[in-house]
Order: sequence, then structure tokens, then C-alpha cells
Amino acid sequence: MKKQSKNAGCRRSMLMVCGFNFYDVFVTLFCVIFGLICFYPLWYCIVASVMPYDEYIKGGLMLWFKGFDFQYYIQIFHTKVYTNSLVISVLKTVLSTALSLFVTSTMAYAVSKVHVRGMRFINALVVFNLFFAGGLVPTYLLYKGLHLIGSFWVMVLPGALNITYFIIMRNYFSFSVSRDLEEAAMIDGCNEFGIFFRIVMPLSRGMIAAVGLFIAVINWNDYYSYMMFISNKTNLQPFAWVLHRMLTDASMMNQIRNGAVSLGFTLPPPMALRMATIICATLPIMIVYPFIQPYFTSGMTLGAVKE
Amino acid sequence: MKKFRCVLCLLLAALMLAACFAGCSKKTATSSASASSSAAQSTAASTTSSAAASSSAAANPQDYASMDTVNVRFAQFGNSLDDADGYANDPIRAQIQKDLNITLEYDTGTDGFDDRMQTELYTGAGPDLFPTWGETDKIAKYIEDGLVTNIGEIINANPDRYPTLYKIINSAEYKAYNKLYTGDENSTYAIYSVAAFAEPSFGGVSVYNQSILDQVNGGKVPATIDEFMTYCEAAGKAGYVGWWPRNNKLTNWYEIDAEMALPQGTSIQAPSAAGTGTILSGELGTDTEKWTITATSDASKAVVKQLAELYKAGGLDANIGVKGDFDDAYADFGAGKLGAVNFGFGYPGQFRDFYNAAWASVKTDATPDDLTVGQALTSNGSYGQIYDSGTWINSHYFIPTSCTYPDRVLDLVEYIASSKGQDLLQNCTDGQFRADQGSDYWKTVDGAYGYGDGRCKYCWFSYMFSGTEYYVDFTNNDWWTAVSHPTDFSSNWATETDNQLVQKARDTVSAYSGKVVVTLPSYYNMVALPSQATDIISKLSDITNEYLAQFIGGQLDVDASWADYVKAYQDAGAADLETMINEAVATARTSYAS
Repeated sequence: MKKQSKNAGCRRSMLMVCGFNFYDVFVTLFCVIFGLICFYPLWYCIVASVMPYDEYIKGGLMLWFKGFDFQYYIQIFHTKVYTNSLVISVLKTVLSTALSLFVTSTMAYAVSKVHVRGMRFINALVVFNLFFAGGLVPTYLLYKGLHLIGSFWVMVLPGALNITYFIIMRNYFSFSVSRDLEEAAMIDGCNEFGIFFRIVMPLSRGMIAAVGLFIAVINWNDYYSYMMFISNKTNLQPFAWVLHRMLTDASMMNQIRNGAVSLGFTLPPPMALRMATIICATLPIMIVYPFIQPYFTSGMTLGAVKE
Repeated sequence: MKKFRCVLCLLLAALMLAACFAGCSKKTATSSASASSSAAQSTAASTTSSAAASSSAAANPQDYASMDTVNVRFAQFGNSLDDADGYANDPIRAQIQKDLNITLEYDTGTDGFDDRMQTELYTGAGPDLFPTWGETDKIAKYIEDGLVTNIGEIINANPDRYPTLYKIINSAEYKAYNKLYTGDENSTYAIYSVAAFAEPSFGGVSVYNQSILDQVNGGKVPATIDEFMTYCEAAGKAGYVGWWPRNNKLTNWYEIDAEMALPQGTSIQAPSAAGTGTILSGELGTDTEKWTITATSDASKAVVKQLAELYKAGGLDANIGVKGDFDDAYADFGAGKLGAVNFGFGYPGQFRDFYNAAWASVKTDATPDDLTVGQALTSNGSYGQIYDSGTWINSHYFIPTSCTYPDRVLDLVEYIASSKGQDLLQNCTDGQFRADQGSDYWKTVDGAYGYGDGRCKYCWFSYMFSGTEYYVDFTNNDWWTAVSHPTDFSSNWATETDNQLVQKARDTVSAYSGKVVVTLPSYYNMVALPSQATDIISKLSDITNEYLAQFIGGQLDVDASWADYVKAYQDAGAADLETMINEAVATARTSYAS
């Protein structure tokens, strides 16, 4: 014991020079630099998206604003494809997230009651799907049978039960919500629905918020369901798909650029337009994030410490 | 309470299971139709319709009016459906619907399009007429799985209803393709879309910024490899970037190869076919013809050294293999930073497109004289040889067996193939461009067709027969002549400046194109490599990308590491590929040369 504390003291003295803890300084510097490296691509997008054209074509490293020109954003919000897809994305994300939270949490709560006969089997059935999915063709046939192909709901309903978050929720309900509380509520006259919605859900706010954010981000970024199951109904394009097309599809880019000319702007550089689109695509989630942050942090650490 | 909870849980579980199996419980009409019964249905339907439509009736629009109105979903890669108003007011679509008594539904996409088409096909939900990229294995697989309609049976049973298609599918060349793809010359399952340019097309020709050319080279356009290197290095020293050879994301060594290596009698790009990454010895069209992979030869090593020197001197864009977007290069060129850029300038229209996109769009006072079309370079007085068959299969169009009215879909195909249909698509009357309504007409059409560049590129149906979207005259020509010699009307609807640009490029290119382009015999269109070749080509391509970028960029010393490069090529099976290429060419020659 004595030897240990002597070693620790020696290490401290080596790290502490002139009143500085160089280890901490190094760690802090590393974290700051690493953080800046991670942040720079986003910063570049922000700067490039408002960079005046004359400055943009000079190229080089863009560290700070050299003037502000919001023509790309004006152009984006004057283009029907963009505005329509934003509405679709918001609707899709809100509905999918709400539905997914509802279905997944109710299912997870039910399955967490392992003492009920059959629940282990149902749990196994659900988890089985985590490892063995049906594949594209059976999935397509299923959606076709359900008349979901070509419909807005194909972007919402299939994700209602999220198996990954089902497992997280089931474990949370099993191990973190006290059974005594449920029994107390039952003695006070609460039925099963009351216990779930009035006792369990409020106690699980942190977890629900964290899972909700993840599901919302997944849905906001999802364009695969549109691409494979809708595709030719352009009025149902989500914003993520429009962004994807902006990056890969010359016709989309030409359409937007020509639209800019018709609004009286100089033909915009494609990359700057892309940057503005990226910002538009990330902004809604970035705005929502701070509001969920307190719950998110507590949700992430739930179950980390066992007593 | 415990009982209630148990029931609730089981109910939820049952609901989930019911949802999972709902799709399987209902057998849809399309999925129940087996391939054979569908084919039988198709034939029966076509026979019935044929009976209704008497001889020589198909050309007469009134006869379609007596038929049932059907909805035809037509899919084509790379179009746009974003402009809902333009789509609704599309005059071409309206005319087709009126003439054929059908409703037309368009379907398109870029990323994921092929996967979706295939998924829809296998689930009985495919569009009534859809394309693939002409892959040999796909057509065989689709036929084997009974997914696509034998259109030959329907057409041959109704020659009066489908006169143009009857003529097309019974031509010797069409049958040769049937044999290639299906093993039976009389099995016609696809409409073959053949790509052919109206003028020779080849790479390896730069376009120069005239002002930089004047400043660092006294206005002289480089004509030899040495002159070109001198110019690029001088531009580099003057603070410009000498040359961007369009090697976007390490995918296009072709331009570098054609500009620098081929004139020196070698090819540095990864081999993929006869004439691509391979050099010919012997005489074309005879038993002596032999293609040799030269990527690792001593001559290629010398070329790579030249490129490394050029890079070091600032003559070659520092972003070689990194610059991943034409837009980046265009922006640099428009900003006056680049001395020369490659963009396949063998074809005159591409010079026009480049001028408009990279230069005129950012220069309000731009004139065609600002840019100069270069010429193919020589080495020791010799041009590089670019081998080209002039034509290639672009795509296959199929009618799926899930379509219950293939005869009506073929009515549409027949219409598009006819003079009337081609006139409609290209704004002609009997193959002559209608100058009286040119620009207005295309303005209306452009709204519905997406690209908005003032031309009818990517017009729906426009590459159903011609992969290059030009007018094909099946009335006065046989199939092969029509598709291999299409008519380019783009100059008719172009602006005066655009025409000036095309003419400028044409005048320059015509001076040397005959010395550079060697036309391969037509049996080269029938060369089919075995599937093992694809894996080797992919490996060699990766090796080329990895090594050449490092050699040129200076991360690897050419002399020290060249042996590793050669060994990597050998280990990946370069020799086997060379054998496969020569065997495939020999097979095509003996089977189809006659």
C-alpha cells in the first residue's frame, strides 16, 4: 500500500512541472484537436454554403467567412422539389418515430414479463429476425401484398418495430423498472395500461428520449425505402434522397442550377449548392438535439452502474 | 390480473405474427402467373389482338382506338420526373397516348435503379418495358427463369401489325445477337439498343486555355509528346496547373493512356478488352491478330516515368486520383487555373458541352476563341492507334412475363421504331428536321425530360434503339445499318454559338481522326469474355490504381518498385486474361466474321 502511494506520488511529480500537469494538457490538446478535425468538415460545409461566388472559385482552405451570400439557400427554398421533400421528411420522421416508439416500447414491455407463458418464445422469434432477415425479394412481396408499394406508408410502417431498440427497451424494463412499483400501482387500482403509461413510461423518459433520437435520425437519413419501394413518385421524395441525388445525379444538379439562373443568380458552383443542401439536411436534427440532450445523456448511461 | 396480462401479451404477439404473414396470405395475380402460362397468355392475347387488327392496320392510328386502353409503364435510366408540370404537358407523351390509345406512365432512377428493376421483375411487379445494361448473363438468367417475354413469337405471328419490328428481328445481325445471348438465333427476348456515334469518338485530346497557351507557349498548340510535356511544365512554372487528364477518382486512365502512352506504342491502363489496355500485333481480321497486355512493359515504365516527372514539375494536376468531381476541375478551368483538360474531345459535341459548362457559365464575355481544341499527339512521327468497333450494345429492353398485354406494349415499340415515332421524338418530318418549330418545341420538351441543356438528350424512348439517342431510320435501312449510322440532329436545334463550337472541334479533329482511329471488324461486337475474366479485370484495375497513382505522385520510386508492380500483375492472372481475350476474339472471328 505504502509502495503504491509512493509510485503514484512519483508519477504525479513527473507529470507536474512548473505547476502544470502536462498529462492533462496533452489529453486536453489531443481532444481539442481531434474535435476540431471532426468538426471541420461540417464547418467547411457551413462556410462554403454562404461563400460569395467570387471567393468560392478561388478555392483553397476555407477557415472563415469571406462575406455572406445566401443565394444557395434562397435557391433551395425556391425549388419545389426541396420544399416538398422537406415536408415529406418531417412527416415521415415524426410519424415513424412516434409509431416506432409506441410499438417497440409496448412490445418490449410485454415481452419483458418473462414469467408470462410464451413470452420467451416471442422474444426468440423477434430476436431471430435480428440475425436472419427475409431478404429483399420476400420483403418486396410482403409490402406488395400489404399494398404498401408506391405509398407514403411504406416509409413509415415497416420500421414500426425496431428490433435493436426492442432489445434495449426490453432489458431496461426487465432490470431497471422496479417490480415493486408496478405492484404498488396495481394495489392502488391501476390496470396494466395505467401501469405502463403512468408509471413505467415516465420512469423511462431518459431511455425513451435516447432511443427516440436514434430512431428519428435513422428515419431522417433513410432514403432506401423510397428508392426501392416508391421511386417514381417524385412528390414523395424524402430530403435525404434529394441530397443523395444532388451528390450523384447530374440531372438534379442541372435542374437546381438552371433554376438559380432563372432567379437572376450567376450559375452557382455545384459544390457550393451541395454544401447548402447538406446544411439543410443536417440542421433539423442539429436543432432538435439540444432539447433532447439532458435526457439523452441520462439515457445513454442508464444501467451503466449496477447496485 | 395476471390472466389479463397474459392475454394482452399473447394478443400483441399474435398481431405481430399476423402482420408478418399478411403478405404471404394473399396470392397476387401477377405472382401466380407462372412464366410459361404468362408466355402463353401473351401469345394468346397477341393473337386475339392481331385478329382484331387486320393486315397493315398497325400503322393506322384509328385501329388502336378500337382496342382496350391500357396503361404502359415504361422505365428508362437517368431521366427526371421532378418537373410535374412539364411531365403533364409533355407533347411527345400526349401524341403517343393519342395515337396508340394507351396511357403512358414513366418510371426512372439513377442509384438503385437496376436493383429495383430486378427486384420488381422477380416479384412480378416490373414495368411493362424496362432496360438492363446489356449484360450477357442477365438475359440468359431472365430467360431461364421465365421472367421475360419472347417477343419474337408475338412479332413473327403478326408481321402486318409489327412491320418494322418484324424487319428488325429477322435481320441477320439481329439473329447473330440472339445467338450470342441465348444460343438460339430465333429466340428474341430483347430489343437491343446499339450505341454508335454519328462521328468518330475517341479520347486523348486536350482542350487548352488559349490565354495560358499564348503566355507560356507562344500560342503554339502542342503536336508531339515532347511539346506537350514542355507546355505543361512551362504552365506549371508560371503558376498554373498544366494538365488535368480527367482521372476522376482513379477511374479513368484511358485519357492519360490515349494522350501519352498510345502514341508511344504502349498502353498503361488496366486491360479489359481487345483494344482497351492491350496492343495489337499481327493483322486485324486474320489468324495472326494478337492482343498483348502492356501495362507492365518497359515502354509503359518509361511513360510512367514521364508522368512522374510531369507531376513533379507541376505540369500534372496534383489531385490526380483525388479530384473526384468534374465540377472541381471545371471550376478550376473556369477560374483560369488549368492549362489543359481532357474530356474525350474526339467527339465535337463534347467540346461544345465543355465550353458551355466549364467556361461560358462563369465568363460573361466568353467567346469560342478563348479555348482551343488540341490535337492527338505524335511520338517519332507516329500517332497512337485507338481501336474502336464504332458500335456497342448499350442496353436490352424487355417486356416481363408479368405484363398481361405484351402485344400492346409491342404496339408502342413498333410506333417508336417507325418513321412516325422517330420523327416525333426528334422533331422531324420524314427524317428532316422541322426548323420551323425547333427551339420552341425543345423548350417545351426539355421541361419534361430533365436535363435542360437545350437539347433532347435523355428524351424518353430516345435510346431504345440508338444508345446515343440519335435518329434511326429503319424504313430505308436494315437494322444494323440504321443503328450503326444514326443521324445526329443536335446542330439543328443548337444555338449559333453551339454550332460554331461544334464546327470548330469538327474541323480540328477531322484533320487527324482518320490517322488515329482504327475501326475493328464488326465481329468484335460479339466478343464475349468468360465470367472469370471479370474478376481478373477487377483485380488488375485495383493494382493499376494503387501503383500508378503512387508512381506518379512520387510515393513509390518507379525503378525500385516496378518489379513489385509486374509481380502483382502476374499474380492477379494477367497472362490468363490475355489468353482469354485472344481466345474470345478468335471465337468471335470464326463464328461471326462471315
